[in-house]
Amino acid sequence: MKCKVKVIAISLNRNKVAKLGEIIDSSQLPNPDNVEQLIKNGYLEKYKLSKKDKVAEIEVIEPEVVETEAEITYLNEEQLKGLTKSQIKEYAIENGIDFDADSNKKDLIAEVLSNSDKKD
Amino acid sequence: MITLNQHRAAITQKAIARYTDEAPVRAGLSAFFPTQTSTAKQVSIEVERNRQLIAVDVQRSTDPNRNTFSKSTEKLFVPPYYNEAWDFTATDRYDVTFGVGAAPSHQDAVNMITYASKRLTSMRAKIMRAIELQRAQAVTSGIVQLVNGDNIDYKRKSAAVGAVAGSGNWTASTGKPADDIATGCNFLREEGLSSVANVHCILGQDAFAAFMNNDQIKEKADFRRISRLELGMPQFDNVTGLVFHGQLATADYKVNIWTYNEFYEATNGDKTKYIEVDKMILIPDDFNGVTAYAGTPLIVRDASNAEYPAYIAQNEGEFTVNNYIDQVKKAHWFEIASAPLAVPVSIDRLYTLAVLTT
Repeated sequence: MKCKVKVIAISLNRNKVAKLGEIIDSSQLPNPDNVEQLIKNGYLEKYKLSKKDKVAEIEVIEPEVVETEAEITYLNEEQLKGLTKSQIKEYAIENGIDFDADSNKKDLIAEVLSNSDKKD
Repeated sequence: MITLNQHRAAITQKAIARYTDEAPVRAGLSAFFPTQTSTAKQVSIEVERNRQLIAVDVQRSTDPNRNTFSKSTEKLFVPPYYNEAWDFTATDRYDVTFGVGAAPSHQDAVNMITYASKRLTSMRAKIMRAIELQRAQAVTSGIVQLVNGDNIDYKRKSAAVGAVAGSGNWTASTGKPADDIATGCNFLREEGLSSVANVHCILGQDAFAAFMNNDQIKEKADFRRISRLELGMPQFDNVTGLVFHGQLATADYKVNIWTYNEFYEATNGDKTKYIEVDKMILIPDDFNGVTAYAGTPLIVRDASNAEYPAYIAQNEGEFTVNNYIDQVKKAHWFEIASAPLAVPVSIDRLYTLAVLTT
């Protein structure tokens, strides 16, 4: 039950305090069963949701995001030759291609090409 | 090594004045909450409720009206604990005395004591402001809010912590401050069983401005042959921080009009007034409140006692000062502790009203 605070302050759960005019939920009270008594004694009043509040309360359904794997286009031999050794290593790491870090550039290109085929 | 330039300053410069903005703590509400100390960790109050009933006549030779009295209820509180510390090794003199294993000279000792005393005074002021905030919360909402401990709710009656209706806003032409004050005074008399006609009215900054501009008050002030309102130049009390403005008569009450604009500062620099700007607080002369100080731990050292050379005792007092060497942090802490709680014992002899609601 939503209630409006009618007094200067009222104690809530978890050491919190609601001030005059704040809208609280009865579940926030230390003893939610006591809400009717608090209303009767003038600490709270029942709060009726206005049209505007109701609109704001409507649950917003987030569009479902479906994760899809992006299609990977592997570089061919010519393109790899145009890169430096460190760029080839970087490309291999980014695309999850296995390689021997100690290989020379030629072996590295051959290895990357061969392992790219395996991934397909 | 001290350079020649540094020596030059002693000959060619002179400090002609010294200014510090450290002001004494003005605790205006302390008068309503006198101090009580004890060694106990908990404090309690006993409340016995009585009613203003009248005797009903009976026929002779019949039964009398038999009376029963409620037992007094005891409310137990654990005052919050404040503990502020400062590292004594931060002083320059510490470095050139204890810091190098040398015993301090007389001048060094005086200097260090003066410095430590200033820091302790400053830390005590912090705690005194926290106590004043407790008192302000007790008289405003009845809920003392704590950061690490559980809030203490004195459960004031809803009629005593209310707000004016929209049309009763003191800034509105329909607002009636004198009537609202009379209603509050009636509450103090009927619910709080206050038996005095002299009531203190403390107004927040904006509430006072609205009070002064209100038509009902201006009309009262305009009476030439009836003197029911006397407002003069503000009289500021530099010790309490309270400002007296004058007196208002409403119904059969004489009300002293005060403002209290003392404030405290948060660590982020925000300044907050103890009395919220839109509140009116009524406190009768016979209000009964206490600032209860529970016991605080004191390190007692007795070098002659081989078995127990040091132990912790509960100390009775407003503040307790300890100093000890911290072997983990390699610091020499000077700390000041206090366990105060502002308790409005006569809880229904308080009336608070939010007068600027929209």
